This record gives sequence, C-alpha cells and structure tokens, in this order.
Amino acid sequence: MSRKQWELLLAGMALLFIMGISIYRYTSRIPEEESYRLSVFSDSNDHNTKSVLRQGMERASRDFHTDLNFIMFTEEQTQEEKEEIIFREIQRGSQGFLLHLDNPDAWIEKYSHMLEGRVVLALEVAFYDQPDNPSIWINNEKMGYELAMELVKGRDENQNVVLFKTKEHNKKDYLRSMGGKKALEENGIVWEEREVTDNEKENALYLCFNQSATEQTVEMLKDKINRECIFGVGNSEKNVYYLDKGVIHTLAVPDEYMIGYMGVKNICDRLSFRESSQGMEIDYILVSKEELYLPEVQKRMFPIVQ
Amino acid sequence: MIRKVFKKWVKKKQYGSIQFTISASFTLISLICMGSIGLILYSKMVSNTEEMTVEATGQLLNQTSVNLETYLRNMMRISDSMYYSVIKDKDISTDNMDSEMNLLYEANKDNLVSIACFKEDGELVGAAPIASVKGEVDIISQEWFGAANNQMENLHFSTPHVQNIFDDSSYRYNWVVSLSRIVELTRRGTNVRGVLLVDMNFSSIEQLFKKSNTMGNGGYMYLTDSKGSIIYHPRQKLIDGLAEKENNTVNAAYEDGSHKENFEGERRIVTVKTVGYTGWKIISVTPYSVYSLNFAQIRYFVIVIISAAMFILFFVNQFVSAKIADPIKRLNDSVKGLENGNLDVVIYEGGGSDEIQHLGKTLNSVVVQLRKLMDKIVIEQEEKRRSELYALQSQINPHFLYNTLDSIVWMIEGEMYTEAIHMVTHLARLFRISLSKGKTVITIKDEIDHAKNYMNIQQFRYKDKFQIFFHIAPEIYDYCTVKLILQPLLENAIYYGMEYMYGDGEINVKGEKREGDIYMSVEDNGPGMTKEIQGDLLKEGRKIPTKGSGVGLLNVHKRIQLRYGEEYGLTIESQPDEGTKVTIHIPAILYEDWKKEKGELE
Repeated sequence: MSRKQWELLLAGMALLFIMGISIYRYTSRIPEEESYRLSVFSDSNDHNTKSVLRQGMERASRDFHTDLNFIMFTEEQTQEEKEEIIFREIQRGSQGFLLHLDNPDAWIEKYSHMLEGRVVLALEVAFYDQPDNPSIWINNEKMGYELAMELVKGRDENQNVVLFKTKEHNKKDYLRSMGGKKALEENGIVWEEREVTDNEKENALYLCFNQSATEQTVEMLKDKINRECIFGVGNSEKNVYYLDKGVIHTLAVPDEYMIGYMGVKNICDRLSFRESSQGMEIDYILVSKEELYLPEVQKRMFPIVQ
Repeated sequence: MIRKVFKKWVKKKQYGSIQFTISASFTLISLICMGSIGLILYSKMVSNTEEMTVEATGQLLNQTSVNLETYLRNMMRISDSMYYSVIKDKDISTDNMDSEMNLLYEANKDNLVSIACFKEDGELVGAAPIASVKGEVDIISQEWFGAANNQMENLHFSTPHVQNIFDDSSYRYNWVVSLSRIVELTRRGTNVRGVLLVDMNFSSIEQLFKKSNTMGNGGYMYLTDSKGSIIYHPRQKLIDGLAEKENNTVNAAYEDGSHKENFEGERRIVTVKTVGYTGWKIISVTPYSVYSLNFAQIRYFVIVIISAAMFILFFVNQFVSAKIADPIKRLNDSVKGLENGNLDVVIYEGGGSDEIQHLGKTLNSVVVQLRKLMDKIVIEQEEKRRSELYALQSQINPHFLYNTLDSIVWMIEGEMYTEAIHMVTHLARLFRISLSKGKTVITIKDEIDHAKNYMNIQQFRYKDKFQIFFHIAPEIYDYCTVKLILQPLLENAIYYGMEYMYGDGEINVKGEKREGDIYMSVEDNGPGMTKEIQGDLLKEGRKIPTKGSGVGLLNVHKRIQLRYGEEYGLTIESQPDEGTKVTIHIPAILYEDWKKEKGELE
C-alpha cells in the first residue's frame, strides 16, 4: 500500500474508532432523572395531618427528584393575594399543583385561567366536577357512613345523636356527613346537626366529620362526660389520647402518609408521561380503644416517632 | 462451490500473499488475545467492584452494628445500674426508689422514655418520669412482662411499640423498645420477683439508621428481629401501606455475610449481620443498579482501552508484516525474471532479515554460476558443432584428391602438360576454397567457384560424358553458405546420374533467392531413383549401396541443419528414367552480416 493509502486508512479507522466510542457512550449512558417543581397548596391548620401528609410528600419528592414548595392559604388572604401567590409559583417554574384544600373544585374553577399546562391534583377529595383532573381520594361518603354505623351499633335507644355541623364549602366534610346521614336514616335514627355547646346532655352521642370538629367536641365534653360518646375523624395526639381515655369511641383515620406520597408520585408520573391512574383511592381504618395498641393499628395511629 | 469461489477471490485479491498471511495471523491473534484480556479485565474489575461494594457495605454494616450494640449496651448498663445499684439495696416495703429512678432517667433522658419496676403481680413499685400507670392496663399481659418472665436469666428486648401503660396527660405517645428483665426485690427481708422495665426511645435507633442510610452507597439498611419482623425500615410506611414490598423474612433467615438475591425482578446484594444481645438482624441491601453504574464506566473504560490497543496493534501489524514481507516480495519479483529465463536479472539482496539477504546472495551466486555454465555449454556446443562439421567435412576430400592426382599423374605421363597444368590449377583453386583458411562458412560465389573448379576437373576425367550448366542469380553471390555443399551433390550427379550417359548427360546447377531464403539445386537427367531410395537417402544408418565415400548427401544435409537449423537442408526429387534434382535450402544471410556477428569464432 502506498503512503497515501496508509494515511487514508489510518484516518478512516481513527474516525470509525471515535464514532464507535461516541455511539457506545451515548447508548450506554444512564438517562438523567427528570426533576420537577411542584407546589402544595393547603388550607389545613391541623399540625398532625400536615406533618404526616408532608412526610409522605417529602418521601416521594426524594424518590422522584422533585422540589416541593408548601404554601398555606388562609381565610384572611384576599383573592388578589392568592392569585399573586399562584402567579409567583408559576413564575418559579412550578409544573404541578397539589391541593390539600377544603374545596378543591371551587379552587380549580376560580383559578383555572392561571393553571393552563399544569397538572393539578387534589388530595383527599375526588374531583367530581373536573373529571380530567386526577385525585388521590378517600371515599369520604363511605367513611361517614361506616362511622355512623359504629355509632348505630353502640347506641342505646334513648341516646340522642348530634351531628357536628360542617362548613358548607368543605367538600370532604360534606360528603362524610352525607354518608353519616344516610346511615342514620337507614336505621331510623333522628339527629341534630349543630355545633357542640356547653349544655350538652349526658346521653348524647356525637358524630364529627373532621379532626378539628372532633377535637372541639372532645374539648367541650372531656370534663363533663366520662363515657365513650364521640365518633370522629383524625388521629391527632389529642384525639388519640381521648380515644385511649375512653371519651372517643371510634376514630376514622385515613392513611395520610400514603395520600401525600401517592399524590406526588401521581403528578410526577403524569409529568413524565408514565402510566398513571386518573384517581387513586386511599383506605381508612376505624379504630376503637381496644384496637388502639394493636401492632398494625399503632403504625397508623402513631405515625410520627417523637 | 463456495471453496472454489473463495479460492478465486483470495487469488484475485492477493490474500494469499505472505504479507496478508502475516498481518491477518497477527491481527487475529491480537484480536483473540486483546478480547480475552478485555473480558478478563472486565470480569476482574467487576468482581473487584462487587467485592469493594460488599466490603464497603460490610464496613458500614459493622459500624452500624457497633453503634447499635453500643446503644443497647448503654441501655443494659442503665438497667444494670438500676438493678444492682438501686433495687438490690432497697426494701420495697419501706424504701422509695423514685428519686434514684428520676436521677437515672434525667441522666439518660435523651435515650430513655421511662424506667419502671413492677412486682410479680404487675403492681408498680416505682417509675420515672411518670409514676402512675393507667388503671385499665393489665401489666401482666404486656408482651415485655411475659418475655422477661420467660427469659429469667437474660434481658429481653421487645420490638418497637407505643408505650401505653403510663398515665401521661400530655398527649405524648412514644415509640419505644422495651428492655425488661426479672429482678429480685426485697420486701420485708424476703426476696420477691419483679420486672424491671427500661423503655428506650426508638427515635435513637431510627436516627442511627437514618445516619447510616445517608452514608450508604445507594443502597439502604434496615433492622429486623430474629424472626424477620421489621423493627426499622427507611420505607416502613410505604411497606405498611402496601405500596412496596421487602423480603425481610427471607433476608433475616440468611447467615451472616453477603448473599445475592433476586427480589421483585431486581438483582441485589444482601448483607446480614446479627446484633449481639438481641438476636436482631441488620440487613443491608444494595441493588445491582447502584453498583452497576460503575460497571458501565468500567465497561466503557475497557472497551476504549482494548479498542485503542487493537487500533494501534492493527497498524503495528501492518507495518511489521510489510517490513518482513517487502524484502521477500522483492526477492520474489526478482526471481520471476529468472523464472522467465532471463539470466541477466539481478536478484534482490538489499534488505530484510539476515536469512533473506543470505537467500538473495545465494540466489545471485547461483544465477552467476548458471550464466557461466550456460555460456560454457554454449561454447562447448559450438565447439562440438564445429568439431562435427570439421569431421564431416574431412570425410569428403581424400577420395576426390586421390582420383584427381591419379588423373594428373597419367596426364603428365601422357605428356599432356597443358591439361595437367589446368588440372593442378583447378585443384589448387579447389583446395584453396576447400580450406578457406579453416572457415566453415563462405560466400555463395566461392561455393559456386568451388563447384565450377570441381566440375572442370571432373569434365577432364569424364570427357564429354556430360555437360554442366550454371544458372546462378548474381544477387545471391554475396550471401553466405556452409562450405562444400554443392560439390557433393555434383559428385552424386556425376556418379549416379551420368554413369550411363554417352554425351547427352546434362547437369544443371541453379541458384536463386526466393521468399527470403536461398535455393540452389543440382539437377541431372540421369536414371533417377525410386521413391524408396529417395526416402532413405537422408536417413542415418540406411542400407543403400553407394559408391565412393557414401556420405555425401547426408553429410551436406546434416551440416546445413547443424548450421542453420532443421527447417533447412536438402530435398530430393527424382523420377526413374527422368533424372534427379537435389535442392539446397539455406537462409539468406549476407556474408558480411554473418562475419560481423560471428566473425572471430571461425
């Protein structure tokens, strides 16, 4: 072979070598994990729920390389202030919104003009009016129904039933009360729907559909009544204490941690165009005093290691 | 068929050449060697990485185990302190141990949740920080209480649980690991059994494992009891919520050390270490995907190195094989000339290895020897030919000389001096040409003159028996011929053709140039000969009765062929009773040209 041919061959082989290495490098590289920015809007003041829910979301954010920003909406904030907050989140590059709100439907309706191109997911409540938006939801109506049925089982004939009045705009409370009322109606039980007062009767039974309502009821009745008369929701430390004490008969406790975790996971799956469900139902448990310290119940009732 | 095509292709592409053979062999061997080295290197590096990962995991596991054991020992020390320093010195019927308990609690409250001592029947003796238990709680039915009773000699560690025996109005519930043991209480001088409970804060264990998990290499570590129930897992809540699974029961059954397993479609290395005092198992899980990240880099590194080495080797192979093969090729090319019969070729001996140079030199000397031998053979052949020619020529002269001299003698005796003078003159001329200073090739003119002189002499002897006519084209006079070829033909014509002629004998000598060759013929009108005789005349060893020396025609024929080649010579045409014509066919070569070419050889 002539010198020129050798040089051409050398150049050709060098080029092939470089191309081969580059192709191999490219095809064997580990694709970088996508990372996202999400905003979590909450209007819940319940510390315990927030903590457990937040733990779940933070666990998911580590697993799915997500940056979470937690924003608290209060009743004192004006419409403009809320829009400003949302706008700021969008400017930050937030790609999805997790709503832990009393009425996520209304929120969506109010701010839909700002949410274009972003995934919105509600926690604990199904979107009935926004079928395209995913939810991580609890069957609140069923929970209310079953809680009420516990009341029915433990009720004596002469005991009155008081339903803690729920806020109209609170969707999950509304659904739970619907369920509760249905159970009572089916069993021919008459109830009162009102707030708990200082003048409560000894033999009443109280049905509360959210944690704060349960705590308020406990606070009102703890020193007056020494029997299990409250059927409530939520595993706050106070509620659990009075369940243990024998003031609360039954608590309905959803798996807040899984709600938080699955919420973030679902949004990340959608943003990555991975297969994801439109909605996911998270279970709840009904716990009585006798079951409180069962190993499987303990993990749900006492989620935080102090 | 395929083999034929392959062989044809190989031959066409010169893939059978030595350079290709050397290059291809070296390249193939290099490929196999480098491929093997690459594989071995990769396997070794992978196995080393695995070992390093296992070792690193093992070290972290050991450290975690040491930390956990230290923590547990600390708790045991607290229990021992409480027992041996406080309880043993107290009489529970009279003494109160609350202050010591509180002191001990305060000193260790970072890790302690509570300390309590119970009688055998479950009655509280003392506790810190909360000194009262719930009324509805049955102490005896508590798992830690029963376990302590069952393991009388040993300390018992419970699995994590929420402690619910104390009447704490602060809404606080703590996850604890209960360390319980049977103790000897003194009541009114008698020993009674009791149970000492030390509740350790589970958060301490949790923090210890969280720290280990953040220091880990991408895997994680968790803690189970001896039966495999999870005590701590970084993803406990997801496992409890059935979002994930763990192979805890199987892992806990492994012996201490590293094990490979496949769980939920994921390959992983599981390292197990048993914690002292408790029988708990610390299990470290390293998914294959974590350390296979390194494998990809190792693979890339090995491929790059091997490819680069192959790349360099390929060119080194080409260079080395060319260096080796090039002198051989040049030697081969130079030998090809030799193959084609060219002895003037110079064999390549310039470069290459010592062997090739030696081969070239040897071949060169062989060629030189060959040339010398060839020259020698040529000379010898030439000498031989000349000798043959001389021998052949020497067969003719004596017989005629004798007869002519006889004729001259009787002429002198008959006082025919003029005729004798003519005869001697012609004879002299005849011999002059015959000798021709030793030449075997003369001009046609000389040959014709020789023939004429001969015929002059013969006509003296054969008075008027025949006539001789010469019809020679003048243009052929300057061409050369082998000497003494006409005379034997004329001799035969006289002896065989004119013998029975009485004055009407005729001999015609013709000479012409035709188609680039010279044709000279001697034709007589004698009796002719049969075809059989005609056919045998030019054969060696023939049995034909002859007169004279008998070698004339064959002699001439052989001499012409010796000189000029077998396509030349004599042809005989004869018809019985009509005559005979003998034709000489020689090439037309000018005498001057012949002299220039051969000259001095004659």
